[in-house]
Amino acid sequence: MNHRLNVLSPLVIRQHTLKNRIVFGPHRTNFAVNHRPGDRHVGYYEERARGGAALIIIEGGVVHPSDYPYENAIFAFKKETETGYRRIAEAVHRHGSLVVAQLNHYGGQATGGLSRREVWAPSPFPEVNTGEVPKAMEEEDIRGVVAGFAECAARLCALGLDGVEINAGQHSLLRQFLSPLTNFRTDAYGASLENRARFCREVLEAVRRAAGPGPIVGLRLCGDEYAPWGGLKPEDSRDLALRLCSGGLVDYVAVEVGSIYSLYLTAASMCHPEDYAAPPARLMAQSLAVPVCATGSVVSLELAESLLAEGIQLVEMTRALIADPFLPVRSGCAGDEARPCILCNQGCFVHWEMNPMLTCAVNPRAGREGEMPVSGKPAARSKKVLVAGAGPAGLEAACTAAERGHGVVVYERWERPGGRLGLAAKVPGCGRFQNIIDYLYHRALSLGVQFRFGRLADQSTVASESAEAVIAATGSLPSPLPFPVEPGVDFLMPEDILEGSGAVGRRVLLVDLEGGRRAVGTALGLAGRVEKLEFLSPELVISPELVPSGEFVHWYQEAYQKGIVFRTQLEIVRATPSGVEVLGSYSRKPEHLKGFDTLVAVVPPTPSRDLYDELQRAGVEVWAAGDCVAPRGLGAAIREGRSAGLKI
Amino acid sequence: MSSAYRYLFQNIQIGPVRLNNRIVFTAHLTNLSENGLPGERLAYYYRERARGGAGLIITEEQSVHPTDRAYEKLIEAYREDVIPGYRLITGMVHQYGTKIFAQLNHNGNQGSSIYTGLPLWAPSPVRDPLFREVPKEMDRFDIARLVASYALAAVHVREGGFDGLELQASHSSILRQFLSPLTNHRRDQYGGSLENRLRLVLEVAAAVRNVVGEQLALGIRLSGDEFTDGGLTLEDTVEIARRLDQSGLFDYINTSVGIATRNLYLVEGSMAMPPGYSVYMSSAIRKAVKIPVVAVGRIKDPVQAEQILRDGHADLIGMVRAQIADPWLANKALQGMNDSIRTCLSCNQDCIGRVGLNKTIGCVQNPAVGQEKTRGEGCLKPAPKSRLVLVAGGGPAGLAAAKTAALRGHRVILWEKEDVCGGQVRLAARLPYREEFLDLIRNLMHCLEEAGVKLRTGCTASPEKILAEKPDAVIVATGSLPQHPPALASGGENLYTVRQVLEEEPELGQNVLVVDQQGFYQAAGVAELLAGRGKRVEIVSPNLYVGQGLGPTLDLEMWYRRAHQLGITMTPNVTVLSVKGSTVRGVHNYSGREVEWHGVDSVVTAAPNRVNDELYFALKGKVAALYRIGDCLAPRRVDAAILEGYRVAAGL
Repeated sequence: MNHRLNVLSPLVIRQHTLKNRIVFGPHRTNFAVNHRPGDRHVGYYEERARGGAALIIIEGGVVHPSDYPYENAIFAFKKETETGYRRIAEAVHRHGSLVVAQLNHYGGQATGGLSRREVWAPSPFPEVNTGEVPKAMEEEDIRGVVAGFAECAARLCALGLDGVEINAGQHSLLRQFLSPLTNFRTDAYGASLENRARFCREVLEAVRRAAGPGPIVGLRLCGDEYAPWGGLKPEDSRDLALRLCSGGLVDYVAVEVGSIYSLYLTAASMCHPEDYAAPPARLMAQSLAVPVCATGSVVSLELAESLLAEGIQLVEMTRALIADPFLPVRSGCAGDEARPCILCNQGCFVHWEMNPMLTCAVNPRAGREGEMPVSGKPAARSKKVLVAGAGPAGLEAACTAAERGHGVVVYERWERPGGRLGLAAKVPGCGRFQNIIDYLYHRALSLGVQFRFGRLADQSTVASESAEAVIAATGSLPSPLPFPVEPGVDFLMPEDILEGSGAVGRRVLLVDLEGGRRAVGTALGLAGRVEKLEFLSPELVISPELVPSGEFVHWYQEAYQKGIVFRTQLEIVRATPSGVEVLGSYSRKPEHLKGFDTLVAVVPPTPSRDLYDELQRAGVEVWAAGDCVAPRGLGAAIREGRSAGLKI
Repeated sequence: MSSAYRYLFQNIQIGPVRLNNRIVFTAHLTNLSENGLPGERLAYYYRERARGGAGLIITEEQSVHPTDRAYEKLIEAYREDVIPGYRLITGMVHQYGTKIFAQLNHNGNQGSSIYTGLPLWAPSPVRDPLFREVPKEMDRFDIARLVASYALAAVHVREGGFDGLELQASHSSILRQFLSPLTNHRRDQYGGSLENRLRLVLEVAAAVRNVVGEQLALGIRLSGDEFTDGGLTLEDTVEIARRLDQSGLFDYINTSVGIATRNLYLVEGSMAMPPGYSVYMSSAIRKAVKIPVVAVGRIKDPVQAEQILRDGHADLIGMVRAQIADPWLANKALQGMNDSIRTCLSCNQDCIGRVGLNKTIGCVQNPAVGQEKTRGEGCLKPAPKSRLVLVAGGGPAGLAAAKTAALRGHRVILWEKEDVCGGQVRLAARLPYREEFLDLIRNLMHCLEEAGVKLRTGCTASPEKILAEKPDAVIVATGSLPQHPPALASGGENLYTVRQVLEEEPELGQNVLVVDQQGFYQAAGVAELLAGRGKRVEIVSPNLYVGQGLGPTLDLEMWYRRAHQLGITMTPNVTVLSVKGSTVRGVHNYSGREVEWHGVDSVVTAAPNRVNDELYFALKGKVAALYRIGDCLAPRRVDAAILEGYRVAAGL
């Protein structure tokens, strides 16, 4: 029996046939140019259609001038967007996939910073994340927005798109009306479920009228707001869905989770289970007559399959398709492994005001389909290439070079591939980092790359291997402690703890000079094993690097609930045998923290590029990639590994 | 020339360039570029300051190399297609006799690779505290490329019609990173001794000089003091300046303070910083060099500028925020119209705060900033027909609307229920270190009656009174009302809003808990006020740290230091749920644990206001043209009030 039967089986919605059950869901990209879909959009969506996704949902278009949610938003209410939308439709249709455009109004989740006017929401209460007080919409405002949705729907369907999706999920005015968390109105649009659903129902009716009977009209709902109080629960959302779908207005319902108190749950990181968003979708699938689309972190076909077996009819695998657009096509070919999405959110999370364009840590081509070929040209002459370092940069470089016909040998000082990423994978909740190591390592082996583990490359190995070119991917080392340490005082490093090699006492002080996931992850690894655990940081807040994505919420909950004591805004003066002397960043008061038997320091990395410098001086052809150039992250390592592999 | 100024309006020679006066609009970020290039919007922005009489304009930094895109809107001077935009700018500015220099820069490790995908360049692999990215330690090829890229950018600047160039070696710059032992740990000929640390700057200057010859002026901007352990001190900078002067490569020295990504609050001091706070630096440098020196640092008015020149602290005066708020400062001073200068508050909300959040530059007082083409001086056209306009409310929104409408020839009546105008701004100015907010009211009230506005203070605008006037248009600007946070809405004997504390000055107990739901100056300021009166004050906030909103306006560091000195306790991450007598209960947002306070004498709440929209809804449908603006539309900050007042009246 073919266990992929379900996921690859077609589904008919109205007169439209989806060739399989895999959906590329809507998400912010920051690709728009002058508020219109741009070239990047066309290349990006076309690639996912070419790779076999059945349905592409274009990132939310703004339906009304009262809304300016982010700088590179598509202003669907403007006629000038038509060319871009039409080009996307043509590109996607070339590959037999369907395409609908999401339509949206951010409501109170936008700010007036860009529009320089008031924001609109059901009720005049400050938004919990931005703090901005919106205007409670007057009836004519509601009518205007309903008309905006309808006009956009009519225009886009006439352009050749297969339909539209109405967003009442995360970041939407319609959800703000549906939810008692944000809707405190006392008129016909508030209080009872019927009233809260009224605005959304009016939008759907107007959209269906405007679009006509042919096009698909989808609806995105929030299945669970995960709010501390008052938010929509799965049963509430199901009841709303039943009301909104009646009368054949809606052709599918996509079920998200997360809202104002849980932004990080709409596209959750690897710390959350892959099916974390499935429960409300399962519940809806039991009650609704129309197909239900599951969302969240589905990255494996196995999970997709099991969701389909539970009555869910469509599965969004958005991030999996960012990492590997060809996942659907590969699923039909035995042995063709897809590049795994590891749910790291490092490149694809672009929901902040600096407007970075979407990238993908594991797939350097994502968003750059028009400028970067799928694979490198075969090398003019096969060379013997030595890659120093089997971290992600070295592995990607080895694969790229081998794919182009070079003979590749990889030297790695440790006994395993992965480099420092292997350590990152040992942080509780971060095990998925190992998936990309495994993928690249297996791919390298299948391309005939040879590995020499436990061996450090130097000039003599280059000679003994008769290497004609070298790629230095020697990674990074912990930088020295930036404060004086008195004799006899030893600091453990996170790796000592994560690998279990360091002797940890009962009372631990962890000093974080990095500000990312590593320190808090290491602390969590210790929590419960020790009597006392204090976490010291000179920053304003713990782990500031986790704040923009909202991921900090998860880590803070874990850490505070496990009793870790946080001390912030303290600069470290020196470490002595009796403890650590600190100075208040603002109070300028000295303090001596004592009573610890174990000190742990988490410091930023510093590049390890001696080999590169040495070989360059010796006149060897050598390229550098990843952390040994400048320690940044996984995305830079893979991107530069690929690029080094293309240069030889 | 105005007799009040002996120095400010004297000519001065900067290398080959002669300036009409000593007022400089120095470099600052605007985010007005378009796709990495300067365009019309930026050109009109500079033009407005040239029309207003500035002697010299120095553009915002222009990036010399693709490894530097520290922020999205950075202009890329290494692209040849930058030249048409440069010509547009210089052509516009030169029409008014003002000279203009371009600032060239590379931000080094004070940047991010998110836009470029390229490793950052820096002297040593040292992470910047704000951007947190480890840069690449530049090798000799990189250094050669950097020098060449400055030269190429200089070609574009020359072709673009500029009168001079400025190298940024100050608060956010790779050149300073090479100068400073804090960031330069090299052991080659570019690190170690001062001579070595100066090498790159001199190589760059020589390469640039080689391009521009003696036709263009060349200057350098130095940070007077990095104010960081292990960094450059004023003494070091004076020595650096002396050597740079001796090189003969430079025509002037501009100054700055601090490190933008470490202590920006020193670079662009808020109103809590004394006016002219860094003038002592230009003064020290001027004593050591022969070339002209520029002073900066919250120099707000022409009298202050004149005094700095008279006392010999500098040859030129950098006035940025003052000319953002009022582009016509120079001409008004020259014509003896000091009273009509719209004085900058140094509130930092829309110039620094917006730009830091990747938005276009603005000004709370000046709605034309960034929109000079359509809102600059002379753009406000007389109304086709003079109409009777009633404005209800004399806060900033109402005042801005009334003045704008009157200037356009409408007959305007402004009703204000209090005896004086200004609304909540008056209260804001009562908080410690916030009194300069009173200038905002003064500026709006100035010439209000000469503009033809009939003021009716002490007079509440009821629907009946308004309708009785038979107005052509009504602008409702009735503001907002204080309220407690929803959980404490039922109130209590010992519960006060910030507004009550400021307006009614109630007798509070010794132990005060301030419950902050806003994160801005309301709670922070009232806590400081009360602690200054000897109360024991604690601030509790659901945010990750107390005073989150103070960051963008650069008030955070100074307030934190003062708060610690006053013994204010800060409790972040906690949501307050109830107040019963002297017991307050809350919950920790992440642990879920209950938090309890006992013996609290008084609770002061800072929550967003609610709209005062009664009048608007009473009039809705009863007058032909009805508008509502400012807080009675949605309670926000004063920038929204003034902007909406202007916008509605400009469209009447």
